[in-house]
Amino acid sequence: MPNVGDKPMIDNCFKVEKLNVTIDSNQILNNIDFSSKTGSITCITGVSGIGKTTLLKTVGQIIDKTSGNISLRGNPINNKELKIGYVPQDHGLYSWLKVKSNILLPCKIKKMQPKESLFKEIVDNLGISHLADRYPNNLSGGEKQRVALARGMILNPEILLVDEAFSSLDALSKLSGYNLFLSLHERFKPTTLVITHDLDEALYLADSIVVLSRGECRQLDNKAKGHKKTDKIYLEHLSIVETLVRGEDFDEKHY
Amino acid sequence: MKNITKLLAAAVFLILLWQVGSILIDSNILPAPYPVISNTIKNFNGKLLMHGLYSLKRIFLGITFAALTAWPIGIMLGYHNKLDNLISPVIYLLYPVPKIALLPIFMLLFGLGDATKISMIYIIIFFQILVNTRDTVRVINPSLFYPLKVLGASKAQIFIHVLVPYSLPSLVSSIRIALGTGIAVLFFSETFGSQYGLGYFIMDSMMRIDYIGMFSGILTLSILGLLLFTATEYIENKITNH
Repeated sequence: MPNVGDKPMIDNCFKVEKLNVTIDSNQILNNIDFSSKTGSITCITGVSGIGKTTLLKTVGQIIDKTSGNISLRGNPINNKELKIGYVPQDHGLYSWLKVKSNILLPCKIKKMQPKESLFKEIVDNLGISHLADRYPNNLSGGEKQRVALARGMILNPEILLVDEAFSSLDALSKLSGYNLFLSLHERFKPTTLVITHDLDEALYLADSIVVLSRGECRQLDNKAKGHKKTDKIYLEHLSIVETLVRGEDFDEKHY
Repeated sequence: MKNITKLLAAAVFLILLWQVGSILIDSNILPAPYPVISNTIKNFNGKLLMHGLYSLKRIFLGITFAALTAWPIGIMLGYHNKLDNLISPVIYLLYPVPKIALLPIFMLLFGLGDATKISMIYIIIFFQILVNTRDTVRVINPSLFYPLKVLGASKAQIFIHVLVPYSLPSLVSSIRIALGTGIAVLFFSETFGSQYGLGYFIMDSMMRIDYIGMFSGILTLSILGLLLFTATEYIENKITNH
């Protein structure tokens, strides 16, 4: 039976505790609590405008938190010290840089010598080695998404933040995008937060799912991962997540 | 190649128009194209080139100084709202001032030499670049900064890796647009207290009733403007056509 509301992971190395974010007097996030196991994928879902992207931006320190803690292995998150990968919704590629320079930009920012072998491994895995000398404006949506993923992974990050990165892809490209992402994640094992409003995507990718609704936060283990959409466990989880997204109380006894 | 053909066709059309005009006016005030072009070619390696190089030096230095100062200031104003709110009223007041009216002040301050002429070009192009760059940076989608902010990038890194390359096309575009005014001002300022420059050469030829020489000067100044305009357009295309 899915475990709702509790912290589902034992090794909860990434923690968000009592997180509050207020922007221009509007409270966007209210006492958010969840945790993730090191190297796991946590999908954060909820209806539009509920604060999913704000949560991700707060973890990445793009915006400041009002109160609360975000920590990795007991230490507060500090993006100057940690290696954090980021894959934004609009891919966030710089039109004036060629694909290779886009991918290697995080190394420049972190003043790290780029590892050619790592670059080659990532671009080969993602099937974009032939795009290295092209500019982003000459790429398709799927290619841009893979380049953005490569850039997110180039530092071999401790934390990877993925913001609706697959939302602009068609169904077939999405599936191939998911599989590429999972194989790359399996190789580097960053602790990953994926923002998505697509519940199928969450059930396909996540080890754990965080649902934001009415300013609240519920978390459940995703035991449906790797199961077919027709499997009972998949349908069970889908129903639970849908219920939570709608902001309705979930009755565990029902299951 | 197509562009070159179009330019040549336009040049032929203008020369024909000029020829028709000179026939209709039938006065040495408007000589026919042939003697002017022939005189320009004949004297190019002599006086015309020397005066042209003086003008080119002045306009190049004026543009370079303006770009080196107005571009970073424009970026800072566009990026920092508070700074922009503080400085913008000053720019708002100064931008519409007809800068050519400042020529006497510049002459009194810097004398009759190059400094006055370069300063005049500088002051005109400075505001064009400043305002254009500020407006470009002001409307940058904030999401463009996120990939760097997540990495803990410093303000200097954001400046170098996002703001500078993002606003570069706007800088070149501002220079291209301001070139026409810059050359006009250069001509005007070279007619005062100067013995070098195409402005001086044109006015001096007129005083000596050497209308063919005068037109050769005008033609050379036009070619100089065209070359600078084409060069900036080429650079603009290079940096925007990714």
